[in-house]
Amino acid sequence: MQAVLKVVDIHKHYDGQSLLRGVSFEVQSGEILCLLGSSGSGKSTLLRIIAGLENQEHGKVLWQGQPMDGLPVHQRNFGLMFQDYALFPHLNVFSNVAFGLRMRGISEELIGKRVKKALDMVDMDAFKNRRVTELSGGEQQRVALARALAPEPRLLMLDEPLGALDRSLKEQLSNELRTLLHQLDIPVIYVTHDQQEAFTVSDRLVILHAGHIQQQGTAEDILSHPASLWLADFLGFTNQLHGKVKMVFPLIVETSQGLFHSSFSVSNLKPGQKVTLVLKPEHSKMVRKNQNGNMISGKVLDVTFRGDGYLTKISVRSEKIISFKSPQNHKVGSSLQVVFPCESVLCYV
Amino acid sequence: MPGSCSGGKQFWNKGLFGLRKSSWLLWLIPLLFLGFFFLYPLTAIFGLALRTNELGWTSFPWQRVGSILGFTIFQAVLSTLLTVLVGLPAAFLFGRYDFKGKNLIRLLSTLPFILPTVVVAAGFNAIIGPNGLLNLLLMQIWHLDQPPIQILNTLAAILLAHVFYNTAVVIRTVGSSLEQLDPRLEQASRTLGASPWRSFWEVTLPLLRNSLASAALVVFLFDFTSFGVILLMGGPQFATLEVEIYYQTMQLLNLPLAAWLSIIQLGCTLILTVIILHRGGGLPIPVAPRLSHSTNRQIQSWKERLFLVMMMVLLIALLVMPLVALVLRSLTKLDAVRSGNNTIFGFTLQYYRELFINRQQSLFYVPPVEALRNSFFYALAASGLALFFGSLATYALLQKSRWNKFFDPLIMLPMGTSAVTLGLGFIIVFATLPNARDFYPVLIPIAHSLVALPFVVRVLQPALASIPSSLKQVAATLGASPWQVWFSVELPIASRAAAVAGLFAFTISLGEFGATAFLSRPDIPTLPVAIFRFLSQPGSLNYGQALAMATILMALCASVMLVIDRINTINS
Repeated sequence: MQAVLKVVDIHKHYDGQSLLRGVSFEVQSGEILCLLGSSGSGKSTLLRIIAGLENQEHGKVLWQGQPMDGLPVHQRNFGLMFQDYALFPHLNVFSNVAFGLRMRGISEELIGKRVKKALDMVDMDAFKNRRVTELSGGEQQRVALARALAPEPRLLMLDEPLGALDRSLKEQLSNELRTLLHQLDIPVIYVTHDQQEAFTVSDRLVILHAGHIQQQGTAEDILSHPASLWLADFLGFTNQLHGKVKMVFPLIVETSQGLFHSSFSVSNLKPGQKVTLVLKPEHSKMVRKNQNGNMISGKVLDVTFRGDGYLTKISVRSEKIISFKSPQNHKVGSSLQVVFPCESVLCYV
Repeated sequence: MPGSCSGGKQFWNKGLFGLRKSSWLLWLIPLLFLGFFFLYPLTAIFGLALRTNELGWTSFPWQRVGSILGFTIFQAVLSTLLTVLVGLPAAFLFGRYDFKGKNLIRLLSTLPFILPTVVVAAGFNAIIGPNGLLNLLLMQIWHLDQPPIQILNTLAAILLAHVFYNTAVVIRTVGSSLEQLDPRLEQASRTLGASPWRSFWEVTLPLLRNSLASAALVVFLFDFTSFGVILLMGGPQFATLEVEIYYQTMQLLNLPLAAWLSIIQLGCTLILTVIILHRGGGLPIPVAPRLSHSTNRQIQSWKERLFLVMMMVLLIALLVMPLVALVLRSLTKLDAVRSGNNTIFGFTLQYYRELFINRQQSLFYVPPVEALRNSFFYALAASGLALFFGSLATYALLQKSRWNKFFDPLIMLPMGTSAVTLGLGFIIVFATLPNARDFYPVLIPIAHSLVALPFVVRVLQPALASIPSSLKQVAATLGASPWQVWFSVELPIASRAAAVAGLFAFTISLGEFGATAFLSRPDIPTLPVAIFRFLSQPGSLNYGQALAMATILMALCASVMLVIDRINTINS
């Protein structure tokens, strides 16, 4: 595996506001890289810069070491699937998919074969004579994908490819899409704001926020050790406690709920420093007796069944709400003690 | 700095041929055209007026000019009021109710909008003129020697023609905002205790005030600059500024006075146009998403039925009868021999056959049917020119440069300039050239394309602007060069709008009378000029031929309009 696309220190302003402030990452051949971020995080702009549709103010886009600046969009051979699909309304399915091949002056006979191949890949060959306006959202999505694939681009970029579809279709298609994209054996950049989709589809993720990359790595890296408090929030780790560092090695933090041992911290800490602890619910355990440290006690506030267990919310001294998954259905109002092992306690400044 | 680029401009601002810095080239060509054939003649009018010494301020015919301006405004105000009076209930009928034949009536009521003035004049002549069908019928029934209806060459005839002409404007403008009006607003007022009348008066009408005012301003502008209608239906005793400019130029050869009249006229129309363009768009009407027919009511109560019947009678009498009469009268033979007071009617194609014959006493050196051929070629050339310069100007406007503030009104300027003023300007500039007469056939399509240019741009602009930029961008990522993007994405998508724009320009040219009246040579007449000349000559054969030609012109315009309507239906 080697990096084929390198994005180096990209800066970009938009409407007087700084949108990208020094973004760098690499994509390896055959890899699905997911750009994850909320709307307005600049992820689509980043795609457009790579595609050549927009110019960066500073920084470089390198393809196999070659800078792409000055190479116009249509000569880059980077496929881009747009968020709203942007199917040509005046062309039918076949001609939409054939468009990129026609631009390359390929013979009609070969175009026929390659369009069929692309349409077969997304299982849409039967629709080739349809008008694109007659297609459903899911069908349009597949035609747009076939159109981007037909010219055999050296890089494929997908901008919220499932964004316009409803939840159930999304889950089904994201698995199919991952299989299909892996078969292509070209680097893929996949932009989405949907975490579930990002974790399902990607080999590796780049998380963008406020113009910076917050973290890049595999889903496992990111989910087990979010690199910042913002990211922990973003990923939905809402159990948080404020406290002060009591000891640095091993890390012990003093909170209103007593002492907490933590095995993970993002920066060099000093004793007495104010910190925020994130308690990950996965490995939490209920205990009957009081324990020394890493324990929360409170009253059950609400219980909802979530298929693999009961999401239980407890209120701690009626000021803080902590939630965790429990195999049992607890009665609302009953008292509980929950222990979070030190590998589930993350410490942030 | 490596990889630094100038500004944050998007790739697609680079323009038609991908030449960002040369978008001024797009402007250059239409601006040169406008400059030479529009601004130059206008400045020539100013130049002539200012240069003339004989016309000192003391000898300037203040009183005559004042009374002409007064009459121009008077008839325009009166016409506008009458038009709104007819148009508002009609707009209400179309905007609110569903009934049988609605589509046909809607189409028929938009027909006058594109009909040439000479056709309208001929139509009214064919029904209420001294030799018109109505007079002939009444004379037959009551055994009269004189036609009982004598309103041709009166103010009433002018008003009637203006109402005929512009009702479509009110129906269109007010009707479309009525359709966009959220019907729940009126329903809410009803639930709060308002009677239907009060909820119309206090909710609907105030919300329509803006579009009504816009429509009234447009109608006023059209009435103010009306030329053919006044000339053909008002007769010699009525002169608006337009008609007076024509008389002073073509009959009295008093170009300096004509120039001064033109300047007054231009001042008025430019102010009006600026007001209209400034008001355009942005109507503060609450728009609610709705199903296309959900708000339209069926005719139910007897009151509604009465309203429908009355409006239908009025609209058909006003808008349809003159055109039907035109066709019928052009096919009606009057026997010269009268037995007593009875005239014998009959069917004839004689007037049409005569069009192919060059009679000795004919006004032309060529058979009248030649006029049809001339008009056709002029219209072809004019629509080609208007499309060419119009699409360049539209592309230039879409570049979103800061110069647009200046260029956009410039492109719209011909709309605020009367065709007669344009004709005068052409005469002043080009009549002094050696062999000037040889140029005139070229000048006519140029003048027509100038008149059509604003319409072409206004049709093309939204169509091109509505193409999502993602379509052009995705084409580029698929390997299309900027030229290929234009050819295989923009052109096919905008082709229908281009067809509509071209057809509009074609019809405008077919019926253009104001500028043509100044520039057309007797041996190369256009259809409207030929109709005008035949109508002003005595004799039933001339009259019949005028009506026959007017019928042909109407049929041409109507079929073009049907095609446009068809294209628009497919589009939506």
